[in-house]
Amino acid sequence: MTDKEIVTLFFQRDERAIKQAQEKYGTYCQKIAVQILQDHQDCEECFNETLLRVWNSIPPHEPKNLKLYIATITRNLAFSYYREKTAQKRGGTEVNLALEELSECISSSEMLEDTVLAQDLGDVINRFLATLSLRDRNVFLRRYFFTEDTKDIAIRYKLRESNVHMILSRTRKKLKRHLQEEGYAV
Amino acid sequence: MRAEDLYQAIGEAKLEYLEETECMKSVHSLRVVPRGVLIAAIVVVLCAIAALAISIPLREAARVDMGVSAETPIPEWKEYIDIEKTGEEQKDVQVSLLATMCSGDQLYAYIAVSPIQERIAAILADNTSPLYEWDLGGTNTRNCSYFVEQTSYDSETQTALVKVGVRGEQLEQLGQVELNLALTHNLKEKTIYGPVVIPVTSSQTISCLANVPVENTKAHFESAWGLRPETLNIPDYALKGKISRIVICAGYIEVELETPSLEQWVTASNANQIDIEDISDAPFDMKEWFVKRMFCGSWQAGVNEALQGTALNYKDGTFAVIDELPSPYAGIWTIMDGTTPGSMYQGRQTYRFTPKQAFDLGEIKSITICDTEYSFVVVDEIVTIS
Repeated sequence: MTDKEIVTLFFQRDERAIKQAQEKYGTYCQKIAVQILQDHQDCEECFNETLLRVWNSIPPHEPKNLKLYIATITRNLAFSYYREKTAQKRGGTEVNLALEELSECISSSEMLEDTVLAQDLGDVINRFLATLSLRDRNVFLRRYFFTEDTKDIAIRYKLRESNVHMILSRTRKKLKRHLQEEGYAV
Repeated sequence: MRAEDLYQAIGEAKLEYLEETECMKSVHSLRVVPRGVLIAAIVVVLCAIAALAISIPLREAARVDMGVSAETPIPEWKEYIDIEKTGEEQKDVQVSLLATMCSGDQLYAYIAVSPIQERIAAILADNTSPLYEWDLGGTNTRNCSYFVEQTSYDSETQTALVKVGVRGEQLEQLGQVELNLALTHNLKEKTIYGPVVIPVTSSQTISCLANVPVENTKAHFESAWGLRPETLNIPDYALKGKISRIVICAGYIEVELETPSLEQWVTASNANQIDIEDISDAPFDMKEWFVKRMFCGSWQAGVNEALQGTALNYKDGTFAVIDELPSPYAGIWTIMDGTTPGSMYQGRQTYRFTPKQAFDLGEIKSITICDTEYSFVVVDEIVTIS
C-alpha cells in the first residue's frame, strides 16, 4: 500500500491505517527507537505510543512524507522516554555515545546565563544545518537525529567509517563555533 | 547548556533536511554500477566539462550562474580583473576575484583558482565527494555564515570557478571580506589558496507599503505544535496581523509582519495553560521557551498561507510565482531574526525568501499577493562603509 493510501485511511478514520503503518514502518521505527532506548519492551511501547499519536494527528495534519513523519515522532518520543529513564540507569547505548560526542560542542553543564539565548536553540540548529554541505548535513543528521551508528552511516553513503568520524568531528567543531557566534556560552 | 539540550534541539531539524538524508543514498548508489560503466561515465563527464569549459569562459559561467546578462548587468554585479595566463604562469598558484554580487547582508563572490587538475576538478564539480572538496580556509569575519562550491572549470587553463556565499548582518560595516580557500583531500586541507580580498559594495532595494492580512488561529497553532508528543487543548481563537512592507534586494525578498504582541497572543490562545513535559532539571524555563516557539511558529504558518501563490510582476508583462523560483529554500519564507532582541515578541517579524539567481530590480514592477497588486515606488541605496 502506498503512503498516500495509508494517509487516506487515516483521514477516513479507518483503523486499517494503523495496521498498514505498523507493517510498513514498524521495523524502521523500532530500529530508530532501539538506538535510543536499547530495550525491546520500551521500543515496542514507544512504537505503540507513536502509532497512537499518528492516529491522533492525522487529520488534521497531512504529512508529505509519512515515513519521516512517523520517524520524527518515534525519535522524539523515544528521547522523552530516555530522559525519564536516565535518572534510573545509564548504559552504553547509541544515544549515550551520541550525547557524549555532542558534549564536545559545549564545555560545561552549567545553566545558560541568558534565558532568551536558550529559547531558539532549534532555530539555531536549523540555521547551522543550512550552512553545511549536503553530505556533511546528511551525515550529521543520520548520527544525531536518527542516532545511527557510524558504521551504518558509512555503508549508507559509501564512505569509509574513518571518513564518517572525521566529518562528524569537523561538523561538531563547526557547531561549537556556530553556537558561540550565536551567543551561547559553550 | 547540556548535550541533551543540543540533541533535543536537533530533533527540530526541518523535514526537508531529513528528506535529503534519504535522497543522497540514491546519488551514492551510483557507485555500485559496474566499474567499466563507471569509468565510461567519468570519461563522458570529463569530456563534457572540458567542452563546456572551452565554450563558456569562466566569467560568463559566473554570469550564467547568477542569472546576470553581460549586455545589461545589474548594478549589484561587479566584475574584476581578467586572468590571462600562458606558459610558465600556469604552473603557479593563481587565485583571482572575477565577480561579486552584494545584496544587503549577502555577498556572493566568484573566484578563479588554478592550477586544478582536470581529474580533481571533475570530482569537485560534484560538490559531494569527500575525496576532494572546497572549503573555507580562514577569514577575517565573525558571525557570518558561508558556503563554498565549484560552479565551473576551464580545462585549457586548468582553472576552477569557485563560488563563495557570505551572509552576516555586519557585512555592510566591514567594507571588505578577506578569506582563504582550502582544497581538502579526504577531509584534510591539501592546499590553501589566497588570501582573496572581496569588496563589499553598495546595493539597492525597492520597497512598498502593503496591507496583506495574515491570520493566526487554532489551526495555525496546531500546525506549529506539529509532532510534539504532549496533547494540545486550545480554544478557537483568531488574531489578525498584517504584512505592512515588502522589500526586494537583488538577492532576496523580505516582508515585514505586524502582529499582536506575544502577551496578547498568549491571552487569546490560552498558551500558558498548555501542559508540557515537566523537565525539572532543564537549564531554562522550558514552558516559556515552548510558548515563544509556538508564537513564532503559528505566525509563520499564517504567513506561509497568506503568501501562497505570490507573484512578482515584471515591466515586460511577464510574472514569476515566487515559491516556484529555484531556491535553496524553495517555497519557504524563512523567519529572520528581529532587528532588536525581543522585537518579534513585541509584534514585528521579518520573513525572507532567497532565490538561487539575482533579481534585476530595474525590471520588477510590482508584486501580487492575495489578488492585490502592490507597486514598487521607493528605491533605496544600501551604502557600505569602507
